Amino acid sequence: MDGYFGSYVLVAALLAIGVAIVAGALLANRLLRPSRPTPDKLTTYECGVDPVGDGWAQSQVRYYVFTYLYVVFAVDAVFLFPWATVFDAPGYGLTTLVEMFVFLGFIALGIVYAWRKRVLTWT
Amino acid sequence: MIQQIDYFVIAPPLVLALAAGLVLLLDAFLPARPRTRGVLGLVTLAGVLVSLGFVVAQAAGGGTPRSTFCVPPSLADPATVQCSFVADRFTLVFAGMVLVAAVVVVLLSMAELAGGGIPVGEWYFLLLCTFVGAVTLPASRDLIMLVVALELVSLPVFALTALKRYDGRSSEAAVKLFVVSVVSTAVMLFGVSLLYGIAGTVFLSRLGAVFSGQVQAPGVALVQGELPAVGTVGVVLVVAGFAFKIAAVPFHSWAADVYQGAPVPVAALLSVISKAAGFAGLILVLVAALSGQAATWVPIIAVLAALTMTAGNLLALRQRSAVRLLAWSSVAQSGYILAPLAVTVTADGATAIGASMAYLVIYAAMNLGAFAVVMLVSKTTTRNELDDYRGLVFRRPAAGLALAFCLICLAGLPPGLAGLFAKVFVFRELVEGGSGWLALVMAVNTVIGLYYYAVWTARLFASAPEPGPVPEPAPRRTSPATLPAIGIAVAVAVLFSVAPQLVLDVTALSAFG
Amino acid sequence: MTTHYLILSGLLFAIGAMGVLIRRNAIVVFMCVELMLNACNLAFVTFSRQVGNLEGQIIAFFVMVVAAAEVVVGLAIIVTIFRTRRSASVDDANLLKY
Repeated sequence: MDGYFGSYVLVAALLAIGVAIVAGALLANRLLRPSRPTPDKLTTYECGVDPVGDGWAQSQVRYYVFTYLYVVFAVDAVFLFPWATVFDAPGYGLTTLVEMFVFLGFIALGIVYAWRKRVLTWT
Repeated sequence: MIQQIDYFVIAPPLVLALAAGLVLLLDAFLPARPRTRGVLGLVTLAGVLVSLGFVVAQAAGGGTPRSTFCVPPSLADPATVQCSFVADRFTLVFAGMVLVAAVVVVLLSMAELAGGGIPVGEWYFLLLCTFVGAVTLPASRDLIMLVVALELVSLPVFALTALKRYDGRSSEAAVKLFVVSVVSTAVMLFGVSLLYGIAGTVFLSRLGAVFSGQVQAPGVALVQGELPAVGTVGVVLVVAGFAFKIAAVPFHSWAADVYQGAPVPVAALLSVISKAAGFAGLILVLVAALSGQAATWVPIIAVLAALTMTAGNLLALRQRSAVRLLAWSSVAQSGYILAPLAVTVTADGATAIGASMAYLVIYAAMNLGAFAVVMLVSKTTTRNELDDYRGLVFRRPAAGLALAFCLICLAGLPPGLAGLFAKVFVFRELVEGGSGWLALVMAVNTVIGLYYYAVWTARLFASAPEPGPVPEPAPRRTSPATLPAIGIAVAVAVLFSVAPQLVLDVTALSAFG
Repeated sequence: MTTHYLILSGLLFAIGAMGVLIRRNAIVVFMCVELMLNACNLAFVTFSRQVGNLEGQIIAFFVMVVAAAEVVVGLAIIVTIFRTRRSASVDDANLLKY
């Protein structure tokens, strides 16, 4: 239980126990229950409603543009974290604060653009 | 610790970035009327011209390189100066060339956008973003700036290619360009990470000191000045990444498809501005950072150059589409530009780079001229094949003669002296650098190139198509912006033909400051 | 200790590169590229620790942002090609040929 990989033994043990419990429960279930399949029983269970159509039905993804916007703006936030650790340290001061707001201003430009182009409305 | 920023030094990219923001806002708030299109185009053009003005002012301000974003002396190792943004002659030559090319591309865009079907504000915004990257890239002197600037050149171009929506060809071209470019970025970044791991720094000056053995490397020790294997892998990966951007063999196959599928101004952008940015980055990394390890990369560059010019020319021979022919010919020209870099060690390094840059500058002028005429013709024909150019000189004398001149320049035949001089500069460097075999390969390739340029030029002067007046597919009115674009490109090419010493003077002295 | 991380990074990069070469669905190709970029990030951060300065971590931040921008542009392009072609396979992108 020592050395670089030693600490991972515990993780592996936990994983093994977890798998054993789930597999054991399913196995016990299978051994104990009677098995009499009928076509009705083999259909996909959809909350009690009869399943309709194919498994590959297409759904309308009306929010993917929001996803794009989220990805871009959320990732830009990574630059805030290193800045947040130093901006009030001695020697930085107001200039550093203003610089970050210039950066945020450029990002806000993107939001303004998206808003004017009606990307943010839920059609 | 706050850095002082010299705003005059960063003015060219800054002006472009502000212009991009302005265009985006104007597009969002101005009413969508046909007049808005013209306004946005003029704002873009004004931004590019102001930026060009700053570059000229910097060049006129004397030869001393100015730098900003430097590591403060209290933190830096005194052995090397560590600045992220340097405006020396190398930077100014590249920035000036990119911006003049940008003027031509913007003028061509006006003609392209006049047809409608492409969102105008987005187009100009993305165009300006690309220019910001292309102007920043030659000034970058650390790996972070270099990577970010290179991405700034590449990313908007994917979108520009795909901006003609619901057009199968352009979205296919975009997806091809995208996959190739993103993979090349990943490959290059892995190489960059290895170089950083060895040298422990991202500044090119410091990398150069480490790789030439002047400074002890913190990562891996150099054994008698030799890189360990991991360093060789890093160098090869970085070179491969840039080779994608400049469409060098074996990473060239995307060029023709993308040029053909993209709108013509974007093809011109890719073949001149994006390529110039790729070369600027390649020269910076190889010469500023890795000159101490030239033994590793010189053979690679020499072989790449030979393969690139040969493959480009052979593939161009069988093309019938004008844009595809220009695409392969520009691959071949990449090979010629690459060749002098292979003798930076044996010959005088500065003049070898000067020859490369001189070729690039002259190539930019003549290639843009050709693309501008192709743009003009593409408005009246649908397929834009070589046969559509039959008798162009008689139908539209100005455009026909301009194209003929540019093609002769590209081939390097006497009336087009610019191309001839460019080739002579490169030949001289190759021979003086003792790379005779490469000069021989280039000579053979120049002869192959003559064939397809001559065939195309001959079509221009051939008598008009025989089967009577062909039912021209409704000659759409060409936008007046195409003619100044052709004018600028051809005027520059003529200027270089008359006074080639001009470009040589500028580029020969452009060693890094 | 950094060796393990570098080996992992190399493996991830190789897996990503193989995926790019072998897989035919544009979106899967794209995920493999992201894997390559993340391998680069891991290498940068590891080297940053090894050589003892922060520059590697700064690059990692920029690579993350660049990767996000690439995701957005790339997915948008794939959506447009899917709209015109009803398929995201790179083999179906065959309009542009000689």
